[in-house]
Amino acid sequence: MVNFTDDLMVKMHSHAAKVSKARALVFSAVFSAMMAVGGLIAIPFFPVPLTLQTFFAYLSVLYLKKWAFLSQLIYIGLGLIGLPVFGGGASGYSVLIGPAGGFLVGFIAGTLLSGNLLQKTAEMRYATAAAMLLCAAVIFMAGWLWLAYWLQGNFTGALLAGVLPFLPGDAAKMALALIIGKKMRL
Amino acid sequence: MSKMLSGFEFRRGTTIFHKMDPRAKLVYIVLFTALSVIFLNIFVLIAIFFSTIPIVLIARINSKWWQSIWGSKFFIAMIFLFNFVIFVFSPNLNLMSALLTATSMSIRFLALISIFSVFFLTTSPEDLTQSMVQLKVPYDYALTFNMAMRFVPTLSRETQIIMDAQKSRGLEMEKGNLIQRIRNYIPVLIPLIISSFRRAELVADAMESRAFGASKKRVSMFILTLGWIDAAFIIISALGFIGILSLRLFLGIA
Repeated sequence: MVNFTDDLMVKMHSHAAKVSKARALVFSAVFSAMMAVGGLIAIPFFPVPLTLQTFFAYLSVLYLKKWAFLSQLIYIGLGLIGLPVFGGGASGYSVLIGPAGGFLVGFIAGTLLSGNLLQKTAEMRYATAAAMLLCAAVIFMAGWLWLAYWLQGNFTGALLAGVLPFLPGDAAKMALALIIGKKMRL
Repeated sequence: MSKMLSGFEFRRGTTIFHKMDPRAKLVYIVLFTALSVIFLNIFVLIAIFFSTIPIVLIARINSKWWQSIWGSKFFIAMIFLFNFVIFVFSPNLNLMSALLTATSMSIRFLALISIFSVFFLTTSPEDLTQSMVQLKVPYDYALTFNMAMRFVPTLSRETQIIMDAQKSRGLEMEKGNLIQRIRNYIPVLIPLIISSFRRAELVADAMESRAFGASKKRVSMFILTLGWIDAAFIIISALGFIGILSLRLFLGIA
């Protein structure tokens, strides 16, 4: 495994100077496919099962930076047109306007904002961690507000049901994405 | 899971339905998925599900279609249980209506899977991309969409293979506390990420060597045109949509 990563990293650093459009598009496509696969891998855990979706969303920010939003946009598009890629094999626009739809919109908004932030501040210290926190904040904010709208303005209920149970798992996924993302560069 | 996704993979065919313009089929899936979301009546949902069967027979995709239906049995069971449990815990418990709602939710899922699988089994990714371009989606996005669509089944199969391989080496996934459980996934994630990146590198190199994006104005070799078969199919789906929707508007069936 080690040899594979080293080989890959040499290859990637040689491209680090300028990312061609072809490369950005292909990697966005791969990340949206990984999002789809991540939604299907569920780690059983109390109180909520963890999926690897947000992990790949964070990783896409680290890796694709300003192109990260495209991977999320395509991922939502795949689900909209009917591939069973949303959590639990669901698909179609009923998911997007359903109670959990805010999180999906949050994926796009969060990666768009944090990806562009990271693109500008990539050389600064803690930039990756800051971008990831921003991404998580936007995702959960969008998910929370939309869920509260679904529960007729019950903001506390939405917080308890849709945000707090996911926070520990997401903190762990962020840490994992940071560790893995540190080893990669487009 | 990959079983269910393999029921979404395009196979070349020569039937009327394979040759149809993807835009006509898009009209069909938009109208009929809307119907299956609007209605909760069990008989209407069964009717929507059965309305896909003539298409399956015309397009001769029965075995693949059945694979996607049969592959989704686990998800259907989950949806049934989930909806049933929610109703059991609701304040005014009514066992009969709980069973009924859970059943119709499962049939709704089945109908959606059937409609989507008919679409994907008979529509080639190139045609879909071309129709998206002709619907004024920017080419870059349409192309990325096409690539992502092809990557999904491949990656899901690969994930399954990697998980099986690591399990056979003694990896126990469902063990330990939160941190431990997430760490258990590292031996799956690293090979998955590396292998998908290598795949992407290959595709990106191929595109760069063909000077992707060098010319600003693109032309297509084939232009999709709506023929009379497509028009007829759009009209049939529209009539079906209006017919089923009128059940709700005039007879009050929800």
